[in-house]
Amino acid sequence: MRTIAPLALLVVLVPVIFAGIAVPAGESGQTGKMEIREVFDDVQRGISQANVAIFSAHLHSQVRVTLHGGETGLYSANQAYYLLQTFLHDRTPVSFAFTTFGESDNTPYGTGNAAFTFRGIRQHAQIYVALASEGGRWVITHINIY
Amino acid sequence: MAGYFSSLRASLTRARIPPAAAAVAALLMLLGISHAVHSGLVSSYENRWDRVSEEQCRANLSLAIARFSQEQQSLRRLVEDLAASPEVHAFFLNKGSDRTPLFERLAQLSRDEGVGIDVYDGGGELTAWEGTGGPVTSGDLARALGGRLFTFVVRTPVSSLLMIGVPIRIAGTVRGVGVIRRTIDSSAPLNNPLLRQEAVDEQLSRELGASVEFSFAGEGETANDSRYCSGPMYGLDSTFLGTVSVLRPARIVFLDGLGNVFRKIDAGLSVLILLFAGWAVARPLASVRSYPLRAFLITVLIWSIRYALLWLDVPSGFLSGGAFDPGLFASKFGFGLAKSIGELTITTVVLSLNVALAVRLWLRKPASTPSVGRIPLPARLVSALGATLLLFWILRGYAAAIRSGVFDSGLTYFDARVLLPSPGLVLMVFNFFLLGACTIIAAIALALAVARWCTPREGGKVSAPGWLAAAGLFAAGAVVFGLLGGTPLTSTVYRLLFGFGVLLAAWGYLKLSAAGEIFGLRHYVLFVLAGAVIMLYPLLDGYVHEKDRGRVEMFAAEELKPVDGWLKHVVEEGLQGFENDAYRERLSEGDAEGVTGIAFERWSSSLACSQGYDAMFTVIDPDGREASRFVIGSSIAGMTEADTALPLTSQTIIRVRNFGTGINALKVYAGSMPILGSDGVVLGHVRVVVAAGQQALFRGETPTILRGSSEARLESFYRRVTLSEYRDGVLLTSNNPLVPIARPLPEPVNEAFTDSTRASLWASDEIDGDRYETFFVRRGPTGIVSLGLKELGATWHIVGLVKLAAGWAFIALVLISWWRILRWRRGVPYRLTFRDRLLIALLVTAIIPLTFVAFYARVYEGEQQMETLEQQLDEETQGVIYNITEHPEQGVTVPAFPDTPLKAEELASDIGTDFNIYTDNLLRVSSRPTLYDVGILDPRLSGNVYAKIVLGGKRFVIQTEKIGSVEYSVGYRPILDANQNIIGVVSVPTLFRSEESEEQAGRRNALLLGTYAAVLLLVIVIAAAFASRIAAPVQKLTEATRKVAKGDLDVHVPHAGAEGEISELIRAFDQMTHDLRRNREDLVRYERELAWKEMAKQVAHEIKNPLTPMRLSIQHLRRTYLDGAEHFGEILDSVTKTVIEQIDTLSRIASEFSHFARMPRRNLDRLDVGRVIEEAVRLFSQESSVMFDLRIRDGIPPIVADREELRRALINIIRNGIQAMDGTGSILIQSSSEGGGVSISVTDFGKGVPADMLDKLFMPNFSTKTDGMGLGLAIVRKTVEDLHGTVTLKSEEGKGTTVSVWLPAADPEGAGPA
Repeated sequence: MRTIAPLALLVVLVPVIFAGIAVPAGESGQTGKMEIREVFDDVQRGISQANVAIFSAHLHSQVRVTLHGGETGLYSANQAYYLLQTFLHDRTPVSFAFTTFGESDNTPYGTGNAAFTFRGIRQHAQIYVALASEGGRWVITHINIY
Repeated sequence: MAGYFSSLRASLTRARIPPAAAAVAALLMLLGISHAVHSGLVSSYENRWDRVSEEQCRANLSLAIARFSQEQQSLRRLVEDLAASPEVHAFFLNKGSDRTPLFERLAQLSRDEGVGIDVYDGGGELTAWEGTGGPVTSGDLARALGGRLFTFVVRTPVSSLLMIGVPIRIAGTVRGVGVIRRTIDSSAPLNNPLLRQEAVDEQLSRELGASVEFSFAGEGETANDSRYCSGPMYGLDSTFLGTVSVLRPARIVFLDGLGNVFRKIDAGLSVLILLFAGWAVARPLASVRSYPLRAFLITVLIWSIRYALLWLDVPSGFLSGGAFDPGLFASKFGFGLAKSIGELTITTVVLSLNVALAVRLWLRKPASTPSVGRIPLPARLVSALGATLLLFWILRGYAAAIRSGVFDSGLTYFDARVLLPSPGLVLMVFNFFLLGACTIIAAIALALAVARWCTPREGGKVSAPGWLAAAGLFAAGAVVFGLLGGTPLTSTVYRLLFGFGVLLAAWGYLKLSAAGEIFGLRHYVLFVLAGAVIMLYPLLDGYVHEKDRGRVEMFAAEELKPVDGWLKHVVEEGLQGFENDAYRERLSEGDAEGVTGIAFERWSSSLACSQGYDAMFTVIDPDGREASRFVIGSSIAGMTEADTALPLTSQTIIRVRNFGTGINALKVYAGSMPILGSDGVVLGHVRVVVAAGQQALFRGETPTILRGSSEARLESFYRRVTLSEYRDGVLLTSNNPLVPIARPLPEPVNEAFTDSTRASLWASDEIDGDRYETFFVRRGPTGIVSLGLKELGATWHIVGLVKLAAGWAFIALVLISWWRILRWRRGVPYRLTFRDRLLIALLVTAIIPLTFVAFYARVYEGEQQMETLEQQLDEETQGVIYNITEHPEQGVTVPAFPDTPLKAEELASDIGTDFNIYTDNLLRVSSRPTLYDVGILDPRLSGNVYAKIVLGGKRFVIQTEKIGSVEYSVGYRPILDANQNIIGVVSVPTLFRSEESEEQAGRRNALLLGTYAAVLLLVIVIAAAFASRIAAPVQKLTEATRKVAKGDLDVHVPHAGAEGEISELIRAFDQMTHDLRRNREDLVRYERELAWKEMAKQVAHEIKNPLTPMRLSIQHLRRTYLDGAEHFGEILDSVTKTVIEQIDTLSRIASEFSHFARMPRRNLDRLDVGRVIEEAVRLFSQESSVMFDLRIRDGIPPIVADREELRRALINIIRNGIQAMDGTGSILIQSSSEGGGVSISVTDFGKGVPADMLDKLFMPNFSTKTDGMGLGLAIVRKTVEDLHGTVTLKSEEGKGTTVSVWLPAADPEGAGPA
């Protein structure tokens, strides 16, 4: 038993560590087909409550993120999650609602104005979120807070 | 201090309080104090906030004013230093001297200090200049020539310049004036590289943590603002320049800042508490006897600390950006264990420590473990199957980690454009190595287990059928794992190779262990790390390739069409940004100068700028005139057309216009909006135009260096994308000039697209001899668009491999150094082996010349590149001059300069290069005028160029120029008339060509680095092979000498591979060992005979002793019998008793001699010495009058010995001690790790041994006692020496005796000092 136990410990430990890393970009479980409006509602709720987890399941494996005074570029869903979470952690949302919805070339998008408090100062930003259909569900491909 | 800690430690020891627990208590107390102080400060600040705010603001204001004053003084000093320079002296003292050195001096000063500087002579004439200029009046110059300073501030559209005029005195006489300028205030944000040269107000804002604004005379908008506290700024000549205003700290921000400081203190204290608590818990855990339980508990402890750090947000909460930036890498694994590269590094280091600990415990486990052979074979086979699948699952985890490292990061792994990898990349690769090493170790452990479980015979030894069965299981597992569903993330071939590799490693390990050559730590770690590199490269390369392909597909799917919604949003954002009170104020004031910079300011902070779109921002006054405009990009004509076509209405309107078709398509999004004052009056209109062209795949075309955003862009490939469009199977157009005109679509592709359902495909393509991985996608009924990525050549892969190998070498070096330091601290002297020395000598000899060659090749290559650029710019300037001049007849040159920027832009577009034309040292026209318009570039001809061309008569000049943080080359050429007089200067900048030069650098690096890296690798391999071959016989000889020193004379050094003197040395050595062996055998034989003689004499003596009383007794019995003694019965009884006693004595003597002569066969095993001591002591438990004091230290390494024999030796020593105390007293038994082994000492406090007897105590048959044979200590010595140990005895008469035994550890490497 003594021979096996440290071995067992070793072989259990390493997979446990790897287990989560083993969920790379694009491997999030299927959440079923979502209505476009529901995705936008989740985004609206998530941004209003400064909680990215509310809509992170809708993020595409590669998301274009543009944040005013922050990061801009193409990021994986995991990176986008932390970037948005950090951005919203630094700013307290005061109000946000989508005011315009549209569609171009099967790309639904929504825009709206948001207000944040950043270091005691009120800031305004325009938010643009675009979706795309992938594998029978609508996913967020573009988030712009500028 | 050390004394204080010593006494504190002593006090704690007396009070039986562990120091770690005391530290935890003290830190908890500090945490409480920190909370109390924070609450107290918050309450105090809140109660007197107005005063605090005012004090803070005033303090910041004083600092800002002082800093402004320092800035002026530093500029003044620069001019005074210049005035003292030989160039200035030469110019002013030798009239008519060459001004070139002075211009060069100014150019250097301007470049180094980021200033603009002019030098005027005594007549007020500008004689030399460099950098941005400014208006200086004759009055200013007259004042300075009169010996006084002057200071004033000049406003440009985007910034304010502080200008200081300083008299140039030579020998006490004012000879001229130096005017210096520096940017002190910028109205545009700093997110654009063009503006990264930080202005003074930005520096101050950063230093003070509060917004600082300068208001110069006539602009006092913040002076009366209650949100600011303001103070006056004076020039060096005491002129009032304006006011500096510092934003009052907001209460919430101030208290948040305070809270952040305390949060950091609390987190720091919490980390310390955690570490001390961990230490406090770890000590008792280390003494847990059960190895698996100890490993488990320590594992739980380690990961508890890791998660506690995550919960405390340490170190992420302290450090943001860099390695902790999620933009660089982020994974959601393990609740944040890998949320950045920094956190991942901590996690992998913790994992590695954990694995190292498990391995250490495994290697040191007792050998006397129950055999798994008792488990039935079917059960073992099932376990082996499970372990096999587990192995491949671990491999999958590793592959997933690498995949995440590629897909969840913005790192470019194989980018040959940069020679030195970024710190983020180095850290990530380090993590990959550690994860690879952990995977290999776990896999080897599993392979050993599987092979053992597969062995049919009972017992722990792995047999050949076991290995074969394990290999079969691994092969089957590699295939089955891919069929189980899910994503295996590795190919079957990769899994097979990995499985067999670890099996081979496990087999090798057992072989070496069995031969007593268990891997040294250094070799083991290097082996595992080398394995980590080998298994990393194919995976990393594969995933990078997969990501590239995915991005091309995404590019094709999303970017071939402009996303109207998004681009409209970009325009909308551009327009809405004008809804700003500051802009309204400037527009309502109607000050033309104040309005001029608005367009640039808005653009520089807009989404259009950050995304790099071609854009045009225009402000139109209420009269319909253009008040401010900024244009950037190459689609100016289309944007101008869309801009002018847009009506100015009272509504916000956005329109889309299309220009061109196919891949020449350009979509222009234009919007206009009125700007209304607070009273509803129209203050003007603004227009924003954004262009997106198919050639740039509808993305921004502005070069990356000019964008205000990071580089993680979809189109940022390290290989250029070749975009081509085919119609009806024939090339229509391409952005790659190497693609032949009317090229047919590759036949296999054409054929594949005859299937009307096919939308896209990947195919290999060849263009001008180069191979491309190309993605073909259907567009319309007859159109095909292709996106080709140039295939990476062998040199590119070599560069990637070399970078990984360099990383591996670095980590190996660190680990070897660490191991060396550990050994050095344990007292093992640092010593390089012969092979090490030889290898180092060979490598140094080979690498030094190679490095020199590589260095000079790189310098030469750089020079070649510069020459190429020079030649290119030379030709381009000639081309521009050819196009801007006319030659009505032979030898006559007439200028025909474009008279508007638009014409210049059209010409630039025709000839394919940007240009500027200077006449009378001033910019006359530019094909890219916007940067001049907003004051970022100086419209004056560079002073240095003026000196070289106009004064020096050079026909071509190339120089490096700088805007903000952007450096670029510019070529200048004079425009000459028929008489060779200079009528102007033309310049060609490379500002917008940075991507081309990066690509060239990549190719150059790949070729150069790849070649040298291959040579270097070859040199290392050959040197290592030579060193090993030459050093191998010496190493074997050294090893053999060590064995001889330990008494093993049966060694034989093979001659194979040895030549010359070394071969002779080996032969001599073998002869020597042979002679020694024969001598020793003779000696042993002689000693044995001597011993037998001694033994026989002693036996005879000992036997004679009881025989005498027996003889006397029996004679006495016979005599009494013959005499008919009256009490014969009693005498008989007495005599027989005596005889029996003597017979018993004889029997005991026989028994002891027998015992000494014939020891039972040893059963060697790995033993825990502490446990054996406890067992020996337990046998004396009936000795109620003896007290045993056992002091057995932690961490004693196991030894190899016969349990019974060792116990018997200890019993002998202990019994002697008890007897020396006459059965009453205490025995002290101590054991600890010492000198690579274990020491055991047994001390009695009896009567001791006289000094003259000490030498004889270990001799057989010597005894100080009246009973016994005196063989006890002899047996002890024989036992200990047979185990290669030592035994010593110290005694003092009347005080006691200590017998000390030292035995070597089973694994001397791991045995530490006491």
